[in-house]
Amino acid sequence: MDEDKKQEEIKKAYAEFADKMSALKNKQDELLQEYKDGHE
Amino acid sequence: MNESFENKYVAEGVSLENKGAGKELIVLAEADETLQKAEIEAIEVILAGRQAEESAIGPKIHEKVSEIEGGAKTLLNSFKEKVTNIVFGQKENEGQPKLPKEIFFPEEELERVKRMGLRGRKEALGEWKEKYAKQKETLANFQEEMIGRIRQCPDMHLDNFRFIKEEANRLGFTPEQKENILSIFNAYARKHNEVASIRREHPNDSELFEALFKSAPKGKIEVVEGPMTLYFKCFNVKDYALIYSQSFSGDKEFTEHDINVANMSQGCSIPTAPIKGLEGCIIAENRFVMNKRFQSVEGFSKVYSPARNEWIDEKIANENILATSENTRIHEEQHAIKRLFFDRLLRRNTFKELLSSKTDNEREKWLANYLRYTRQSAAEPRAKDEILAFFKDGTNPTETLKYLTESKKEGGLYDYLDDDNIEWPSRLQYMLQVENYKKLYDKTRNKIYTEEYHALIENSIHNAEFLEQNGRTKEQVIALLINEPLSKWAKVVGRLVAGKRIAKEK
Repeated sequence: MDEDKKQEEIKKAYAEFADKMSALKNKQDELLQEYKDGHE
Repeated sequence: MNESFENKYVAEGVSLENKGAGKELIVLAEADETLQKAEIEAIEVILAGRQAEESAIGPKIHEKVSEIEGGAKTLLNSFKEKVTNIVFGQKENEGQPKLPKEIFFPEEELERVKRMGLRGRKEALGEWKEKYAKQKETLANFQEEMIGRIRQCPDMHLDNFRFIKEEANRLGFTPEQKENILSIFNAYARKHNEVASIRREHPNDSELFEALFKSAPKGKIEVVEGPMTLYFKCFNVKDYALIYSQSFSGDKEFTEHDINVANMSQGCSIPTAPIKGLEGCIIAENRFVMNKRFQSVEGFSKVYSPARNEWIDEKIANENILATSENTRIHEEQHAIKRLFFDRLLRRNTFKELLSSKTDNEREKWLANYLRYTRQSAAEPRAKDEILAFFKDGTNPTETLKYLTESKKEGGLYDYLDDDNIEWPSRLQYMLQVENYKKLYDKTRNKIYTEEYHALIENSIHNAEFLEQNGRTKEQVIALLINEPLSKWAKVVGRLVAGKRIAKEK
């Protein structure tokens, strides 16, 4: 794999990772908010 | 662009971001930065969950938070594997690729062994221990080889990196081990370029000293550029003391005590730097103290060596000084490179263990281990030189103890463990945002940096005094202790005194 291709692949892998991590973060925020509201 | 030109181009300090400058190294730097960015994102999710668990709703959300944490860890691990595979991947069109060794994942394998039934578990555990020890040894040998190669061909970044990639694949390193290698090599390449760049700006030795330390040298200065180091040979002790004391704020007035402390060592490798990016790259030699080992007398062709108590040929004395200078340079250069490697590995490992520890006791153990390491590298060598200098000038032991244990907040001048003097890695700083971890850190910090450290200083002062009370001169005590780390003084003194007692009894 040439270096340009590697650069592209790393960017692609990171974009996928960031999307999935952001979905997890949203899920966690919602969960915490839900319980917080219930607790108050 | 041919390969040697790329090598030269990058080695000369051209920004890694410059298009076309050593593309493999640009990919390496980008991969390292991306991996770090991803790790921080995963940490934020994990720690937010842990912080919420400390609140009143904690017990109710435990299961779901753990599930999200598991998801974040899996995502991160899979991302690391993808990126390291991309960076370390076998190249196409290279003929038959070398077959990589089977990869041994120690944590996963240990979990598998633990899950086994009683039958066969003992044997499997024995096998695991053997593989684990072998992998550790392979990693240690690889690290030595990497350092050796860097020292031998410091400018050949591309060749060195290609060699490292091939070896890491051949030896079957895990994605995590490859990530560590990638991060260390990237850090090294950056340091190398920073050093080359500042040297190119100031080819004159004295001008380089002045540019870095904001003060014209008082005596002759010679500089040797290393793979990631600048070695300053200081012929005037005040110039050496300026570097040794890491006082980079301008014209510092040195007291006689400062000079005595500096004269306790003939070389030093300092962790800080007056310019960002050069941290850990400055090493220095106290040529004044090396020269002092020989005294020339006007009108005589020979010089006197007080240590050997004899007159020797001036040419031999000069050869001796040059050999000491070269050995000191090699020692300090190795020390600086090893510190770059070891610091990073320890930080990463500490963070990983802190995150995966199940109890506060386990977390405390890892924190203590890290804090003890920082204390040993940041404070103990300097405290040792201070104790010996105070001992030499006859300062009262109680006064010495007070000077060396008074905190900066209380007006102390020798508080090497003050927060301003210790670099606390960003990954670990994130952890301190969780209240429970912060409390644990404060407690452990107090134990290691205050209770243990003060006891060590007090014992060390007494050990030096004790040797003197046992019939040795101050000079003999200093000669016996100066090359031993502070943590070994008690053992050394114990052996010396017991040896004397046994000899008397005989």
